[in-house]
Amino acid sequence: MSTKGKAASIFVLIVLVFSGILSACSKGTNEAESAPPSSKASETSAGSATSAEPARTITLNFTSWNIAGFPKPEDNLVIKNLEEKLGVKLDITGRKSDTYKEEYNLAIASGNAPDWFGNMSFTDYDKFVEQNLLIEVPEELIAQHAPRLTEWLKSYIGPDPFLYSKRNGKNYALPTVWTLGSTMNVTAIREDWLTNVGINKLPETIGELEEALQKLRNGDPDGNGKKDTYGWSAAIASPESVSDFFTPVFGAYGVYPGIFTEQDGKIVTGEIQPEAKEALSVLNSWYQQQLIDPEFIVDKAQNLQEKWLAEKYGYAVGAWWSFLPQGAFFDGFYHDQLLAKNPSSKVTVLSPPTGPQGKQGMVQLNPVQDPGVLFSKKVGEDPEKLAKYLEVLDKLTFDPDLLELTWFGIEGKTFKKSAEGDYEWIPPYDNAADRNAIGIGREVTFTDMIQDYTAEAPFMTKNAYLDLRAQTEKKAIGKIDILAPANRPVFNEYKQKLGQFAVKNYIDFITGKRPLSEFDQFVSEWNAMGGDKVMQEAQEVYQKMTAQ
Amino acid sequence: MRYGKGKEIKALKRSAGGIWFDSINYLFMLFIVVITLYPFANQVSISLSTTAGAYSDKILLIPNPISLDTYKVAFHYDAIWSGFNNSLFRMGLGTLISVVFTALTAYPLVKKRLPFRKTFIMMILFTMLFNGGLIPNFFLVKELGFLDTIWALVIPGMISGFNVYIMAAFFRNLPESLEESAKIDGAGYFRIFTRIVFPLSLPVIAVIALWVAVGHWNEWFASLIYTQDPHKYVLQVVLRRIIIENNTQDITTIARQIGKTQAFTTRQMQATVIMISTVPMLIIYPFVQKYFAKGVMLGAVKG
Amino acid sequence: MKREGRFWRDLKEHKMLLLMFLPGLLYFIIFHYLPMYGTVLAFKDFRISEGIWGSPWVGFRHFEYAFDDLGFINALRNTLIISLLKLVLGFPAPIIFAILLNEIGRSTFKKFVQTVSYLPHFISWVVLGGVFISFLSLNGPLNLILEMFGFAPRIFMSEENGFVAILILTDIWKGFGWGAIIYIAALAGLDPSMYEAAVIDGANRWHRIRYITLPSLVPVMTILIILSMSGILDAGFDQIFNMYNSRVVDVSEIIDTYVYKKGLVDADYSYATAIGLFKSIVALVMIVISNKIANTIRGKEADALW
Repeated sequence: MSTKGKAASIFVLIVLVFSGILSACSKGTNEAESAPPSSKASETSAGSATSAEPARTITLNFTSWNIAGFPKPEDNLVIKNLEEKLGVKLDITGRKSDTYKEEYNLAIASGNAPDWFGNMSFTDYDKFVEQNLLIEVPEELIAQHAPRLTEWLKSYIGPDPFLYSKRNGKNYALPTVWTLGSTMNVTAIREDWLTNVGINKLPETIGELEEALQKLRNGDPDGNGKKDTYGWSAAIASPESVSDFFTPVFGAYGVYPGIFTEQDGKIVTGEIQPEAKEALSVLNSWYQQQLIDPEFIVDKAQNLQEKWLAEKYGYAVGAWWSFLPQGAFFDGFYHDQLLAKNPSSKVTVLSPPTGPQGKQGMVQLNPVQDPGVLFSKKVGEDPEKLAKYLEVLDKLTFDPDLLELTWFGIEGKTFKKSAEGDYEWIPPYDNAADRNAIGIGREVTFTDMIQDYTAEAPFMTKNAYLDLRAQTEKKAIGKIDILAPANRPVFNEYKQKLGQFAVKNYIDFITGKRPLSEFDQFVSEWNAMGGDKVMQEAQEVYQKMTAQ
Repeated sequence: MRYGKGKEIKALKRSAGGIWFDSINYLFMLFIVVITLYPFANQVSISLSTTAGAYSDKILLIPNPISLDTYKVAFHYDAIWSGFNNSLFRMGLGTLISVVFTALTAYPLVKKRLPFRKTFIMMILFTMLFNGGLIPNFFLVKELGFLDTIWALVIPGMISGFNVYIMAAFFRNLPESLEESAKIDGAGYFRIFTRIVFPLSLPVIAVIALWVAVGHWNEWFASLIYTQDPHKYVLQVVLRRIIIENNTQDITTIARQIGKTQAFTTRQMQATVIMISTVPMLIIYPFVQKYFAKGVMLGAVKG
Repeated sequence: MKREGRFWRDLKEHKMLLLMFLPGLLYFIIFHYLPMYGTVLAFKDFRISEGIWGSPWVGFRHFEYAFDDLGFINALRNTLIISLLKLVLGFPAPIIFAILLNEIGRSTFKKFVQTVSYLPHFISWVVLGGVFISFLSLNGPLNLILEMFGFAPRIFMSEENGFVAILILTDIWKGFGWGAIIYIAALAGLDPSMYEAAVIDGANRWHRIRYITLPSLVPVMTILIILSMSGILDAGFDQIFNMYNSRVVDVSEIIDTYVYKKGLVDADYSYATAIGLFKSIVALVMIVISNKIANTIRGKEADALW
């Protein structure tokens, strides 16, 4: 390098050092964790909690997804009502949806952590606990101020609802469960097509399903004279996991690939079980018979929707609410949109098929999806605040009048009840934008993190559909990944590699690219890649879990 | 060099080989139009379709029936208008200061005898490649008091090394004779720059301005991170939210759906959002194209 | 003695230029060099509570971990292959298009073609992913055409070579129109009388392109090739993320998708910073090398960076 070049590098070095020194001055901002409460200029509301009068109103921090402007409590009907009923002042700040993780990290790094946050992974939770960023949420406090929540959690997690959130004997989160998870996935079939091809009984066994798929493929169910329909089109939601890969067929043989389940007191993972081989041979046979759409390898959810609406296949798999009318819950894509296009279509939800030993099931989701609501050190500054949050949270999840207020607003002004007792909007509140402005909707409360869908059924399902919904949910059977909330560092390390390997091989087994005789070889390869280490850890974790 | 008369040139140009070439070229361009226009036209069509139409077998360019539902929903959001204004303002201000300062930075680098020239070039190169990450940049913007202002969106990315080098390359290709004669007349570098170099470089300046303008128009992350007042969000942030809030398949958005059956799916909303984002850019482009027509360089090949 | 004297003379002579450069200089120092301390995270184990300075030092641990990781090495290999293919095949496309467009001559048709050609640039890969999967499906247009010619329909996207080819071709399709704009601008500065003179001298179309059009584009091409080295390890995250499937993961996992997936599980900010630093250093080396090559090939008149 020339002398000029050397000068260049020296220059850069000097600037870097200079910038390093200058930025050390901003070090103070990084370490602001224990500093006195920084005033969030744009966010603190009038009644801040620094006064020490006995009968003061505590300010609670709610978040809004609202892009039109945060509803100011002064001119916002719903928020004012909430404040009155709960006896608190509400300070609404913004949470900006899909980049919320970066925003939380930034906020914490700049010493400006919000009162609470959530939707974090268990790995993040461990890091926050270890780095002392959260306050302890004592179990007794939760039981005292949020009794209904505690019972609710017990019914889903077990006698110890803090099983997954405790670290070193202390609890640092308010757990939450996604109650829809364990009864989510079902199968559905075009019943009108079945009638067209001469099948009058809904398929219940694997054999009956195979027959149905054959007729759907070869019997021209849409009557257009072309062999352009498949029995079953699928999409691989996650290339790293075999867990949503034709699971009804695996469940018929008693295995659940891609997740950890308990069998005879031990932990197993479905993809390497011998029964999986049987399921794979069924799928292979179906593939060779062209009952399965060969594009399942490349299709994504969007393509699958296109094909369903283009009426290219007849048997589908998914969450139960996609197959019911929208009034039954929400979405209803596979039902309503198809009906709009083809009024004579009939979509019927089925339980997964039973196998030769009478087993049936699909992979379902563990309700414990994330650690729950985490409270930052800021809340700890005011001893009564945490208790107040718990109390308010309990009320917002279970009190029917509060639910009605946050879901639909004020009767006579924003909603009215129809003859059947269903909720109807009064214009202009049938527009999302107008609802936002007045504070209606879960987007202005923080309980979209904690929802009891049973308590909310009257608000989410039209009365006419309550029965249908209950019946349909019953058809969602199967097993969940019982290790999902557990801390497993070895698993985290190998998860991606093992998952991709399994998916790729399963595809090859089904399409016949890899002969099924090599299944055992696949299992040993899987183990050699780190799978046996993962299983070892899984056994240890399971034993610890059940010992408590 | 001999300069022939117009008619002779035309006659020479119309040789047989020329006609073949031109015809094939025209056909090729038509092919280009089809392959680039069709997907876009398809998106236009989807944005105007009912769901049945958007997913049907038939490929219709003009949907039947035409549905403006997605547009109605999108434009009912007040925020879309403030977003639009904010984006226009950001684009205008940002492009202006970017173009001016990029040019001012690029021109000196062309002079081979500029002291520290190589150092400066290396220094700019480093900024193109190395970056401190989100946290230090956020602190800087915060310390400077730019949070929640237009400056946070317009200053941190003001000069890009890439653009500096491109401009410098074009400046370098201007014939030195122009500058020499100006120098003899006593003009300083600044005058040469403003009176000669800048006006003669309108094509490259137009391109850089276009790049910067489109960049500002499409950018959303900085606005999300640095803006707290929702009235100051730029259009892209609002559009992203509209898609999310009207996403009928995302379980986390179920809370926002209740009460009204949606007559369209996410796919159509996405198409509509593409239209809203892109059409303003299409309107700008003809103005930029004007500057390409100004072939003011005389004998521009070097040497 | 002489050198010093020349330095001060140059300084005086170029005073105004240095003044013009000053705002830019200040800008770069404040907004690029000042925050650059964040790159030290590549050598630390980032702990939010302790900020960047307080986080513990781990030296080269992240880098060792990455290079021990077969998955990362594989991703690195794929990144290089895809990037180089995109460069070799994709770099000429906008140039050829600009040259051919230039031959059309000024007309509304030319402007129309140009405006339409960059439309794909504005459609994001989120949408295009689904569009291309549809287009390439067994019942899609491409397979229909193949069937007309007697070929059996194939799911190209599930084949490893096919997928890479699709990546390259769709990337070219999306970018050629937009990428051509800079070349069109360069050609706009040409004096038409040069072409007329060439015609008089008996040059045919090919000669005119070869001796007038192309050379005028060489300065821009040189700069752009050198600068495109800065993205040598990018390879297109958005595109791949929205189009890939499990069967082709072995050839389409690039550094960015690999780090992204790891981040979902690990949430390791400093690991990501380390990989980013690695990419930057490789880019820097490539730029220096290509700049030297440009200088060597074309000597003193080169339009390289320096």
